[in-house]
Amino acid sequence: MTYAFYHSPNTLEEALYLKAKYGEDARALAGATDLLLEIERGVRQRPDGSPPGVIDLTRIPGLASIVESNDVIQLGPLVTHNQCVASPTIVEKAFPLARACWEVGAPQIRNRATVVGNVITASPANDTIAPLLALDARITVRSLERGERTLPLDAFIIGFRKVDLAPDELVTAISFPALNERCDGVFIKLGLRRAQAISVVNVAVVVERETPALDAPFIRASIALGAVAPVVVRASAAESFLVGKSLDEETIAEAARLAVQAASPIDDIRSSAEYRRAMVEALTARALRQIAAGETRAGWPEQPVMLWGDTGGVWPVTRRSGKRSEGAEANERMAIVNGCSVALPGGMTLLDSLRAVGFVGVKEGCAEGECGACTVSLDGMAVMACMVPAERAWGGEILTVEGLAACGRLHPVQQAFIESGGVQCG
Amino acid sequence: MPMLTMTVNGVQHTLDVPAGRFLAEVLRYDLKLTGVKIGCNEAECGACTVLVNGRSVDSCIFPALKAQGAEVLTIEGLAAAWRTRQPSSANLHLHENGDQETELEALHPLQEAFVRYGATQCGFCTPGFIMQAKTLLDANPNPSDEEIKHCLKDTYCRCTGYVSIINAVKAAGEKMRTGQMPEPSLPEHVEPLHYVGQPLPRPDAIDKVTGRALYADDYWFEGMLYGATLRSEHPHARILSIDASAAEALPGVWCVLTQKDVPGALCHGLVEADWPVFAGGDYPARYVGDPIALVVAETDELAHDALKRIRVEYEVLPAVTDPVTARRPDAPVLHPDRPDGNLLKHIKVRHGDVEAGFAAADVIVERTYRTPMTEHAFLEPECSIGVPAGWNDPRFGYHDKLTVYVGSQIPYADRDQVARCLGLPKEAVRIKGTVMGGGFGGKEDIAGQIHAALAAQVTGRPVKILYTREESLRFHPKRHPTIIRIKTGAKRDGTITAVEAELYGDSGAYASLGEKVMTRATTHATGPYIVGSAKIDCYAMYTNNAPCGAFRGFGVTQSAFAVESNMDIVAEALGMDPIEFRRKNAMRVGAVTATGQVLRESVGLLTCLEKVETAIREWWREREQESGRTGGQDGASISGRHLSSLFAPLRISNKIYAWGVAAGYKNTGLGGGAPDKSEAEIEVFPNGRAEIRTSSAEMGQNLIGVLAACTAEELGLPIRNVSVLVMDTDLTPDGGPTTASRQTYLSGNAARLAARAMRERLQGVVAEKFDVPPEVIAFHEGLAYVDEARLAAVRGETQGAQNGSQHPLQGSTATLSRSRSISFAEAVKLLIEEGRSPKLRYEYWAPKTQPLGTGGDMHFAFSYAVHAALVSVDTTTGEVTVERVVSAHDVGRAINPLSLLGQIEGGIVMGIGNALTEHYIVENGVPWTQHLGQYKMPGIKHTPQMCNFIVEDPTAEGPYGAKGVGEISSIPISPAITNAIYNAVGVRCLALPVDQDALLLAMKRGERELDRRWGDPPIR
Repeated sequence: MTYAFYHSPNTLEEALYLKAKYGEDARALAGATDLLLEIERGVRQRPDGSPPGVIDLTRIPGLASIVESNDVIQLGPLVTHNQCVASPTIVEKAFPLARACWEVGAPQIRNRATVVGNVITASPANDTIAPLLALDARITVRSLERGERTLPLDAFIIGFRKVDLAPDELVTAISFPALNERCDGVFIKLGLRRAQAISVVNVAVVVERETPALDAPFIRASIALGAVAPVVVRASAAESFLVGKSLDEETIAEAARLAVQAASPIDDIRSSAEYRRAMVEALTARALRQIAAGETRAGWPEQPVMLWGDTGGVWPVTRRSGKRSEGAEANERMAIVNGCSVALPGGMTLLDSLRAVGFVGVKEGCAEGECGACTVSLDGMAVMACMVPAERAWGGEILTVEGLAACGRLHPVQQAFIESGGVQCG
Repeated sequence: MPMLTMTVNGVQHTLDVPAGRFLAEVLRYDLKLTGVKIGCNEAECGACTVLVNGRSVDSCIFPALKAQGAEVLTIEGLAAAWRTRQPSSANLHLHENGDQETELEALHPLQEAFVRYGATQCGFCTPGFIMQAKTLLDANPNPSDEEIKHCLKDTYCRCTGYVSIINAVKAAGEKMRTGQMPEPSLPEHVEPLHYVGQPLPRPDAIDKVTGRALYADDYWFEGMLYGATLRSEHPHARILSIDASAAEALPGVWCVLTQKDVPGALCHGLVEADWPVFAGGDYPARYVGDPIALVVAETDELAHDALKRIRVEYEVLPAVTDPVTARRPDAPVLHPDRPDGNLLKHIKVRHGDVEAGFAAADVIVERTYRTPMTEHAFLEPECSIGVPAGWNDPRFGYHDKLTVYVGSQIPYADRDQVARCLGLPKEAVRIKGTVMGGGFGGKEDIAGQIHAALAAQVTGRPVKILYTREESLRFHPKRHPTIIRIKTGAKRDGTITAVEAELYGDSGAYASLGEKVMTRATTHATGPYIVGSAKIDCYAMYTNNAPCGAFRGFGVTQSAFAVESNMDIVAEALGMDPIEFRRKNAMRVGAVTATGQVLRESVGLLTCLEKVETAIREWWREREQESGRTGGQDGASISGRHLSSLFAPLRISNKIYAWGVAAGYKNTGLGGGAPDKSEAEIEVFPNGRAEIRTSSAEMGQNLIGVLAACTAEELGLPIRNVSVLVMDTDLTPDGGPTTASRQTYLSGNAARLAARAMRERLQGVVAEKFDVPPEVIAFHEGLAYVDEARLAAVRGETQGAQNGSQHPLQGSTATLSRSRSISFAEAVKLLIEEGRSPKLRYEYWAPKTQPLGTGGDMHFAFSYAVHAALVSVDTTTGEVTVERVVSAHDVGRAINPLSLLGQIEGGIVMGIGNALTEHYIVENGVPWTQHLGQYKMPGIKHTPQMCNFIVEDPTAEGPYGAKGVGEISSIPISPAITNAIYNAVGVRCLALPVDQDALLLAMKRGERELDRRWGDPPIR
């Protein structure tokens, strides 16, 4: 088995509760494009070397939104790369991030991989980190016990693949100022055709001019370099050199030369340090030239094809039955269990609560979410009743295993579908 | 276990799934939707792509429980989902007997287009491509090439080279927009016969685009167990002890097999039996992939878990990991029983007097080249299933003997090796081929066949052994890395006077086909040229690296890189045009090869050179016109300039473009005196059908289509009435190995001649019925009839053809007598009534060849090709892009131009990988390349624009003039690319794959030659 257990909480509080309960023994899972492979290969382990469990956040509503208010853009922890590509807000006001998201992996990956996941992995080669750093992004994290804290991205990433995130914490948002009409920005990545298709070097540049005119001098420049140091770094010498200047070939060349100072690349099988330094210079110059020419969006598809059907890019968090029962507030302790309205006692797990009111068909195996014997369906999703506070089920619909089986019977239409050849090898 | 409820292809399923299970596993193994393929299990290849709520995902890393409540669509449900959306679906009648056209119409346009455009070959990647492309067409049914490439950029195909895939996606889009699917465009080729020469879709294409085709891992048997192999951790180590007790103690583990359990021979091998079934005892582990033990357990997971509990005590031995060191007298010896230390074979070619040749030369060029170890990366990892004798399975029936289900290139060799190692007579073992997800030479040696058979024998149960991608990479034989020093001498007029070469080939731990591969590298080391003299020495060496063996091109890929690079260097030294220099020395009819063979026919090299030269000239002309129109604004400004060379560089902003050219040739068939034959069996049936059978392997190249076309052509049967059975040692006679580009020639001929013999048999009985001489009975479109014109000719009459009762037939000069014809089915009935067998076998023997060193015909045919590549080199980053490729291939005869084009496009893209991206990196005998993600094969974004010419200079004996094409298509492209790089930026790449870092640094430093490749230690 790849991971030890799987939880799919329905609220952030529940997720934080699980994080607090399991700490290092469980990893939060969103897109699951990296984590599970890392678990399988033993990169992510519990302290005792065994594979951790996972807490899947994708059933929690409201975490996949991109919100702009007061000139600050905020990404929820489930925002995927493709959502950024499709978001007019990101494309208009945080273009380097959109470009980076578009360059990542295949659609199969971009559809699932989240920006927050990319940041937490904290590999210096990860594509979204440089643009976020150049955008002065801040990270908000939360735990059940200590509540929320917000810190700058460069403080959040504390080393090579290391972040300042306690075992009981979850990242709840990334936020950064929206770029205004005096700003421009670009992201350029150089991959190699060889080995892993990750960046050898990537560069994100964000500038702010005194006026929107292309030749107006800069009042601010941010240059972030990926894959040239243990963490993504800012080229501060080049940044301060650019302040007060407008771009000409000479300024570009000098800024590019200064950018190399920030790089401390390594030789590895993907590339040599010397080459990486040369590429920092080449890509920084290329980025600045695009900014000078006002061509940062050259080649950007007018309507990127998103390849996600009609989902709008957001994984549905809804349950089969859809809505919570009306009037749940009024009947707080009530839930619908296998079609009957039942008062569930609180202050205990859902398992104990169900058993207490007579649903003894729900079995307790391990009482720690390991065995799954206590699985019930809560609002259409399988949950381990031993892991869910009974309070979470108030106002919800519950099906026990027996109930689920009854639902599993085929609708006549589906039956006809099989007979007409809808399934060939089924 | 948690319950998972999801809707798959419109049907709701509720099932128990363990928490750690992935969606691909649930779909494949629990729901048996085996159209969902697992190629790498790390989201690298895209074969497992399915749609979850309309979005494409790599299902191999998608936790099944994430699909809770979701709508999942797989390839199996695609056609039905499409039909339900079509207003006309009510009128659609599916014929039970599968008229192909009707069946195609009922599919999703993408499926139909993949069939019609030949975009499915081995088919393993096809479901992933179609599902991924669907998301694109749903959003935009009129995508540009760029959009298609961006959408499919991390979905991998190893057969097609992606060109046909791009075309198919566009065609499908057009059908979705207009209701009409355009015809694929094909290169010019000679006038087709009824079936031979027709661009027909593959016979198995519909199965492959619907997910119905069953590859080995798609088979399940009742009571099946699973095997997992423990492999050596060290490149060279004696096995002192194996403690498997902890593994055996696990509930569900049936047994752990080691060398002591092997009842027969302890080693296998195609040429030399030097490869242990299990390392141990007298046989140390000689590379990190060597098997040590096999766990057999109730589930695959359990078997793999149990591996971790086996304790092996090793005595680590010194390892030798490069072929030059291996030849030193003090090097550790791998096989002490061999006479020549680590030397597997010293291969020599001697031709004329080289010393005199070099003395007569005005220019002498000597360089040393290196080529990388590369990996086949067929999309389907190896899988074998052993089924014990006497096993009855409800789906697959009774097995009267020990049977191995496997996709293998040489079923009979598998049978013989399994039998030998199990101590059984050959007849007690059956190899039954499954659909095969690519081979390229990598499925010739034994993989899990012996282990699966042994495990089945021991446990009395079916046992499946499926290799993980990591295991496949680590274990199976690779392309030989080589070091080639080559010296070429030429006179001022361009005549090549001498070639001297020394090759070192790293054959790795075991013989495999190493000797044969390096022999081909040696004998082809003068290139397709007439050379005055030659002295070539090749040392195929044993080392503690992975064994190296067959891989498309079979050694010639390596030597062609050296030869064709030297050709360009010499041409430049002489001040000659590269094409002119090649033309001057090109092989032609009457030429003598360095091995002393006189070429008597079918040498289309000059035509190939001419076609390619014309195409490059045409490109320049268009370029000049364009630049004339735009006033040279793109920075190229070549207008009005006299074009001094087709290979001149062209700078456009930060990129420099240039063409490069290379030629190549490749033998068809085993040659070298090896008896080369294929046997085919034909059976005709009273329902008017025929079946052709041979054990030759179908691995994606469409041999079955070739065999069907040859059979249908000879029998005058509609091709849909011909079925083909391959790869079954009980039901199909031995077609020989599927290697050396030989099957179209060998098995094509066997099928053609078997069908012809059957036709003659049928002619006899029909002639008797109509009381005419047998030779006047003709067959066409399922009819046997008296050809009155021929009858008249036979009877010496001249006016028979004007008889009014006769109707000319389309595409046929024969005339048909209505009164004197019977159906093919009737003819078969007559045959059977006459008491004659409706079944016969034909054993086709290829023309005899001579061993190397004896002079005479070393091979009975050669194919020729010329490739030209237009590359761009980015002067700021060193990035090399192949923008365009022009190719011309002399294949004798295009039996199926659609499949032929697929072989050409796929071969070229594989060659691009060889030149620019692919390197299986091994450090001190330990592979660095452990995952597919670390082996970068070309993706769809590497696919250049292509223009491919077919040259048909026929052979006298090949079927309808055909010869092989499987390998030649990937041979000249690598040197064409490096020659183009040189022409662009003046840096000569002496080692593959080209390292863009090093190339950039060389450009900056003004260095002219580059001996570094990526994966080499960094330069300080």
